[in-house]
Amino acid sequence: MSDLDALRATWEAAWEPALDCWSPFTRLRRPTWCLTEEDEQREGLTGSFAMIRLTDKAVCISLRQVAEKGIGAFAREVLAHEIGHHVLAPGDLSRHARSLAHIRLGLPSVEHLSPMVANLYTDLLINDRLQRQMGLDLAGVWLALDEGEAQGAFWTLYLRTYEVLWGLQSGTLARGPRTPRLDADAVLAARVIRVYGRDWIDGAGRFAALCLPYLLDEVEEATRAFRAWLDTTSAGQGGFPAGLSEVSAGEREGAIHPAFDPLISGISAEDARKILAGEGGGVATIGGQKSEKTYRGPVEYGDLLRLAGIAVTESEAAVRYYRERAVPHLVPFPSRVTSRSTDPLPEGLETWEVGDPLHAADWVETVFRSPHVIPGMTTVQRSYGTEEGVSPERQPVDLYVGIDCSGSMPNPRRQVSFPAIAGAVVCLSALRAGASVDVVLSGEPGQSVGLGGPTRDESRVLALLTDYLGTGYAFGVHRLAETFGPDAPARDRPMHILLLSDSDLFLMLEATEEGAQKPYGQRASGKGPLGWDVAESALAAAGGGGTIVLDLPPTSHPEPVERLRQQGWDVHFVREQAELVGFARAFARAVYATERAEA
Amino acid sequence: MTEGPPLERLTRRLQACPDALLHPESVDVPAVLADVLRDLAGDPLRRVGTPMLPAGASPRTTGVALVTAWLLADESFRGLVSPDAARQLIARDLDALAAVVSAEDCVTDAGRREELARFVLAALDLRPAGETDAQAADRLATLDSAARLAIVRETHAAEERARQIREAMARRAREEAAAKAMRE
Amino acid sequence: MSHPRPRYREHAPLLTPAGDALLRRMEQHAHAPVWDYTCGDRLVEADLPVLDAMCAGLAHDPPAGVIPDAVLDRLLAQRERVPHLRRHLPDTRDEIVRQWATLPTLSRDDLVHSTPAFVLDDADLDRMVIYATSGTTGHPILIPNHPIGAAAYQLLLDRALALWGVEIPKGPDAMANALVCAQAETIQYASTLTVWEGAGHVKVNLHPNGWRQPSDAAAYLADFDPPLLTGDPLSFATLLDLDIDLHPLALVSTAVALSEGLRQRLTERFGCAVLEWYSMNEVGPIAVLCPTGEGHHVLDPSIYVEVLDAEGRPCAPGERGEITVTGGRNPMLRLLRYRTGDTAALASGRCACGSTAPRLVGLEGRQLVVFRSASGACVNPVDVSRILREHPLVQHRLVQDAEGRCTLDLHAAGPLDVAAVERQLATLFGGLPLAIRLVEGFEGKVVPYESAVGEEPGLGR
Repeated sequence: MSDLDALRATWEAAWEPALDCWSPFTRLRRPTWCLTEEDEQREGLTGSFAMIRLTDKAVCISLRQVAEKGIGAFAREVLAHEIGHHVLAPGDLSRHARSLAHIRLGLPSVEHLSPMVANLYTDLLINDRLQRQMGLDLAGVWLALDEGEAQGAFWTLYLRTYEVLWGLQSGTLARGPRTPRLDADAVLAARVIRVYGRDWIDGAGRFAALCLPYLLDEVEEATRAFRAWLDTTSAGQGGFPAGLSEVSAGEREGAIHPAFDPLISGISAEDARKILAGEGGGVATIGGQKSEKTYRGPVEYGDLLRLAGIAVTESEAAVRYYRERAVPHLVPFPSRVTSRSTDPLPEGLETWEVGDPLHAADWVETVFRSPHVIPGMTTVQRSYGTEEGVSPERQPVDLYVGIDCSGSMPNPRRQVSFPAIAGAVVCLSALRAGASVDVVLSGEPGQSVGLGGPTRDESRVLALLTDYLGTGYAFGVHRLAETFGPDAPARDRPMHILLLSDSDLFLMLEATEEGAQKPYGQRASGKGPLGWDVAESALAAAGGGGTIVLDLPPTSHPEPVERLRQQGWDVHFVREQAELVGFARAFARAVYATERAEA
Repeated sequence: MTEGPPLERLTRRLQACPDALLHPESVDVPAVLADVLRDLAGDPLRRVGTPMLPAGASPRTTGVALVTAWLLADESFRGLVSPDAARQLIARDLDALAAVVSAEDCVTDAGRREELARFVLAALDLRPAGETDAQAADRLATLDSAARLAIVRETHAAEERARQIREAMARRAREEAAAKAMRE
Repeated sequence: MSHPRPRYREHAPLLTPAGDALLRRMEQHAHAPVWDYTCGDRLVEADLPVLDAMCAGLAHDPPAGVIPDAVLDRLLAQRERVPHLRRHLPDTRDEIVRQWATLPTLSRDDLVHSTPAFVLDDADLDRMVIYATSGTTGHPILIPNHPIGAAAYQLLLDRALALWGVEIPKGPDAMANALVCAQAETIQYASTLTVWEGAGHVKVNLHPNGWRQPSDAAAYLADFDPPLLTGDPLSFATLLDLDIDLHPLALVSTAVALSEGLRQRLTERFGCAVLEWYSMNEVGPIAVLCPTGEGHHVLDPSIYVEVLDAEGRPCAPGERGEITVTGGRNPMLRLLRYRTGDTAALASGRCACGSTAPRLVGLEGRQLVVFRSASGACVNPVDVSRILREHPLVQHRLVQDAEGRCTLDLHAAGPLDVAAVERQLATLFGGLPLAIRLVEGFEGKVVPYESAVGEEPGLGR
């Protein structure tokens, strides 16, 4: 053990000099040193000798393996490299996840290799900088770790790229067989590193596209060969990136082979087009789905989280996804001046992440912590609690949201569901304004699920909104009686009823309670009140008004629509589901942004 | 190979290429080229009348020729390079390079500067000071734009189409298929 | 006129108001299953002439013993536009015929590894649809197809049913077909099919998991009583168990081999034609059982079926070998001498039914494997595939011994959550003992599923 203790002392001493390679102001926790296999298992260090975690800015080194692999002399190189992952690339969880989104597109059919490719790519960026600008001997680390095993084509390509970057004689690092094509690709890879050094996320898809043919040929060899090097594949553990539901600029176009990128290969855009067109009928340009230009779907979102090393279930991913999709449309938080009902109490500091509102950052505290501001690392924001204030002047009206969750609606966990986004917009806005929210999903005949009464618990609301029934054909109007009928639990605040449905709602209005469970043609029969009557009395009992949004042309069904209006319902139409979001935004502003107007 | 000037000296000179030389339309090209040859010969009065560029030289080749002329005018080439060798280089060897590299790139892009400098040295049977023949050849091969473009033409175009097909497959796999009456 | 339903704009652009009414009737039925999918035939106006031409081409049986003209015509026409054909196909008709036996054959591995090599250079990738298929490797692969390729199934089905003297009523006033499944979990949807004049088609799961009440499946299917039922043998066995009051004109069995025993029971129970259909996602429909029971006929002149020995040489008539196909009805894949992994012999001479079309005898395709859960219920291997598909695997092999113990060998392609696999399978098998082993690879051809439990379903009572 004494040898390891000595090693530890040397490496401890190398930490500050390693930090200096980046910026004297870089602030990171000292590394966790693993001396035994038990240490490694406890830290989750498996397969490789070093790793980082972005969420708690951790660097973890296995000195046991460092000694075993004979790289004890490269303390500064290894440590500066790990720090580079925190400072340069990926830097933070949000960028990590976004780069994976780019890379994934460059690796169709072997997407599961994205974390490895991301790791190799950021390693190139970091090592190139350390070797050329800081004069560290990263090439020495590679040579020390070379155990003389046969190098596959991908491994050879990767090492050849370092040779090109650092002007090394060919064969210094890359010992595997080379072809003119491999040499050409190595030069292109090196150019990606240089040209996209600053906007490295934009280069990520290109690098991946370059790797793809090699990976297709030797999936397993590549995975095995690089195992010991992977230090960022669990970097996302325990965290959550913001802004990932959005498809970032250049993501879709970025996954192109660098040979066809004029910035990299020197080829002109016109030549690139010509060469590609020469290949048969030319390269198809793949159009995205029109309504979803800037957002990815919930399944892809969940896939990306998992690639970033974040363990999420389908439902957790869905909740995050719809929350993120809703946030841009929410009403502003009530201004503190007018809101006398609660007093914000500063509770402490938490990390301000890129993606949090800019105004939320506490710059004084941030600069106090570190004069060198690195967003998402040194930035902090104050967190506030609330205390019951005195004499609220005006209570926001509570909200009942009824969503048609029948078989004709998409499952929000699998496909983008505009009713779910719209529901999240109005519910989260209501919660912001201080109201309580009740949500009922209904697909009848069949099932209904609800929160069982108004709540202020955002996570319960979102979990239900992203749930799915897939039964029946419409929102069960008769369910309104459970909340607003004579036998319903008492409520002490007025409630607004918002229903999202389509033309099948009219079938429900025409049906009796019992008839609603029957096939076509028999719905007016059986026991219980007609849907019309339930709707009318619920609206009266709610006391906060009612809105119905229907997915159909405004001119269809004029008579029943008129009847709803006479009952006092506000009826709106959307021609496409995507319009629901715009409606929800306007609705939320009309109902819940009033307090701001009073300021 | 004979030892030539240090590479860095040449790439620095390329970086300092006067802007005017990047605009062949405003330059008396034959005059500039002739000047360079006279300089290399060390005899300002020597006749170098034969035109150095083929009559139908493309604007790209003319552009690269001017930048090359600027490079050859460096003092370090005096006595190392015969006017005939220089004439041959400009008249014959530049076409392939000019097809894939622009004159501007040879000045503004570090990689292309190095490539042109090495290309010129190799064509004149020189190697950069301080390098072995093997090192010089290795590095030039690494930077060879024309060879790379040939490879791009041969293999990458097909691969890019293949990648797009795979991408479409991955994307479509997440979407609904078309209904059919049976499944396998 | 505006589209009757915005949601179907993309899935069924040709949906008519009458079709929409039928769709609602099928979707909104009081006993409807829990729908969880939107699916349509995705056909557009421009596809219709192509399908009409296809229909016309199906009027004649393909010739036996020679490469059909339609196959040669298309190979020549597309030779320059498909990377694999560019590389391997001679450039004249005569040379193609002369060198045919020496042209390289393709394995499933070749297809998986270089799928893009078989796609037309000018194929419209925006219209690509993907079917996941689990083959002999045990790991599902993605097969690109096209809405026209999907519609071809319906047209070839008509042709096959005609051989059996059956004609299915079409039109937007009734459900023509129910595709039945029997799995713990699968997607369920309702749709209409343009080439069947807007007739209804549903995919439903007979497993109780798919319905709000266990009795709904019987009530729903009995109410629509579709004239054509399609499904795999296990689903048909489940249909027998449920004893639903149905009066189909035909049952068409797909996916895995239908035993003669089960076929007879189905024939007795439903008193209708029971056909075995042989198709694969890669090339579309290949052959259908002859009413005489003496082999399977190739009905499509756009496909060339050979039987090859282990060395790739054509087998003599009557000699068993590997079924190898060229052409077919998948517009996204242009396969040349694709080895299916299934075996049969080519019959010589006219069939007793009178047809001169090529005939495969002794067809042995994928065999039906059934697992059992702790409660003794059938477990469909498709459910295992569905679970394993979510994990990065190269190959797998699941063996259940006579006592119900399961052993699962996994060859991982990346970091694998073994605990999750174990959890999901434990749920499926009701907690039977399960041993998971991680292996570095498999030797030779892998049989992904093997079971030593119980007798064939549907015959046991």
